[in-house]
Amino acid sequence: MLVAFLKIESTWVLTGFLILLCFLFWVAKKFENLGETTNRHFTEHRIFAVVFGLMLAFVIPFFFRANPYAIHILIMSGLATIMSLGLNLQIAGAGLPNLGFGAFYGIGAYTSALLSVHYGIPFFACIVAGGGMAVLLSFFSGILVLRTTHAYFALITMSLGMIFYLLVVNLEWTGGPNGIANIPPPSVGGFALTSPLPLMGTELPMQTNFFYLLLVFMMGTFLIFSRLHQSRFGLNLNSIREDELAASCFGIDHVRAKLSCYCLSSFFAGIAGVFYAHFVSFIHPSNFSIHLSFVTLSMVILGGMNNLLGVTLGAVALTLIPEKFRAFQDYRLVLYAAVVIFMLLFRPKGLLPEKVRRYRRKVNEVW
Amino acid sequence: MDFLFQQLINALMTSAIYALTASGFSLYFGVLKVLNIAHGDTCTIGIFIAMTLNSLALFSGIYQILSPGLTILLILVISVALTGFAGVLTQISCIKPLRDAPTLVVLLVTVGLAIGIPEGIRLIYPQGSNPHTFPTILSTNGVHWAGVPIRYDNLLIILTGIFLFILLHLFLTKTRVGMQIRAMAQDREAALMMGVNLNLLYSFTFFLGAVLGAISGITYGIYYTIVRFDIGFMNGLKGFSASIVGGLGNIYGAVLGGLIFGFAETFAVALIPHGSAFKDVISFLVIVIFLVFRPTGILGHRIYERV
Repeated sequence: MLVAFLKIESTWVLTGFLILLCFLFWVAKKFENLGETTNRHFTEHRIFAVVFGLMLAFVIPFFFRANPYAIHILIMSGLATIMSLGLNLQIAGAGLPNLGFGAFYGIGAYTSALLSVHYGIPFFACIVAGGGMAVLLSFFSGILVLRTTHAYFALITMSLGMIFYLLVVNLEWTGGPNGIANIPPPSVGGFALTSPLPLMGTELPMQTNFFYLLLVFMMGTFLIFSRLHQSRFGLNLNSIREDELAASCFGIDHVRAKLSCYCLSSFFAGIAGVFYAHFVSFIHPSNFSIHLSFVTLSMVILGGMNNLLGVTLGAVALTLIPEKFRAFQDYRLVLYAAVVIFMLLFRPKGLLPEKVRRYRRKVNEVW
Repeated sequence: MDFLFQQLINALMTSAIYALTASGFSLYFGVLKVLNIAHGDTCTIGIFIAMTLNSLALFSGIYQILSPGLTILLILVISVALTGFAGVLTQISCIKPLRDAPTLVVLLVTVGLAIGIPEGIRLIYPQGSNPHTFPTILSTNGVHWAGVPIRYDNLLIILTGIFLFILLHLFLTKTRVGMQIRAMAQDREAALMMGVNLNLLYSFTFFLGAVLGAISGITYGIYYTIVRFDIGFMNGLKGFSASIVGGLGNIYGAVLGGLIFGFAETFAVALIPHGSAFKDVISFLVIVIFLVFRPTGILGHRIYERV
């Protein structure tokens, strides 16, 4: 279905396809049993589902040999997924509305760009450096900022995001308004990732290398976030979201929990930023303004609060749809704003609601 | 001495602009407990409606029929009123349905509006992405006072600010609706029990806030004369920070915050070398510092959470 979506060129067929998708979604909601059965199937045969999904993902680039831009879009949506998963942990997990999330993406991107352009540090060391820098800065800003609550936190993170953007634009050693160019691509064992990949007898375009690398990252991210959600840490965060005072009465160290959540999400944002810098090999301050934070926010809100699959869906949908409707490129931000407003007015839980945690494996099915 | 005096005039002007926006924010938060981040966009809407009306007036030749002064006054009044109605529209569609929702949801909706409205303006207005010149209302003459030239525009802005605040104060203290607004800000449930009409008050507060925002935007346009579609966002953020500095929910705090902010910004730009690039950074740093160490502002009361 994804392949079909990407292959469609004309706008009218695309609109029809989207309407068909909405209709299917509505039908699926009508037949609750169908949703339940598929859900149960997926959970029971989870390993099989994951392997199957991975095989599908592996095969996707083979469809787009002639169209590397489609793979480019898929990579961008993957990066958006990593960002949205991080923001999801903060907003929907811990109740911290972080409107400055794009700043950590930018910190990771700029750190790795500066390191690799000026000092020639290889890619995998840059990942550690970029992520580490994001964690460091989020640690220090978190100590300052995490004492504030909901609306004030949103405002203060928005201010921090804007401070980052303004500093990066105005300072000389971050390249100023010209950005940083010619960031060297990563190389695995002497094989630079910007050369086309010969696999299974066909030459795949160079974006495929990045695509597979990103798949590895995404798997790791998804695994970490789902384990976090299921664990005690996720429970602590949810209780802090509900009522911080009551949570601290139960013995949850809310300072430590919030700080850990904040730094962890920033780590993933930093990693995504590093990947972005080396993929596009040119970064510019305008990529990391508040619009990026807002776009990530809209993905989380659309997809579903605290539902990992929903957030992935939201991220992929909100990256692919504006790209395909290229004729309406100007209306991108209006689209994101409209998505946020409509979802919050009519369905604040998002498309896929928060999943109930399962703690006991059902050995005997009664029915 | 001249330099100081010039900077003083600049500081007074910027603080007038920020204080106008800030009082709108304080009004929203104090009365309705809504942090309306989209308030800065009322400034943009006001500016662009004024520019549209101005072009319309020039095109239809009304300037020849009525005197220029009267036309300008009419344009200003109509654009301010229309922005007020735009505020009411926003309130009806987006804020009122979410009256019982958690504050986080309302905040995110206002953030959505804050991003969506400038984009909408950019798309609707012809050549919206380019900067536009705000029509000069007065000539660029000025008076000389103590050896420093003061332009008429500057005087107008400062006088407008002072006049509006006196008007606002009189409105809030002497009229019946003002009393209702103050009652809602003090104790919401008691005010409701006293028969304050909540729907009407929601609409009216948004109308008033939008009017204040529009006036702030127009004074911004008169001062800077170059307007873009997204200045409202920065203006709104700075106004927001000014109201936080002064204490949210408190109109006089908003004025105080606007003054502090305007002075801090102007003197920081004047005294720090290459300061103008970092003007905004300083504003945001002030927000961060105040929010971390004294979130209730200078004139606000410390809010203690009851368990």
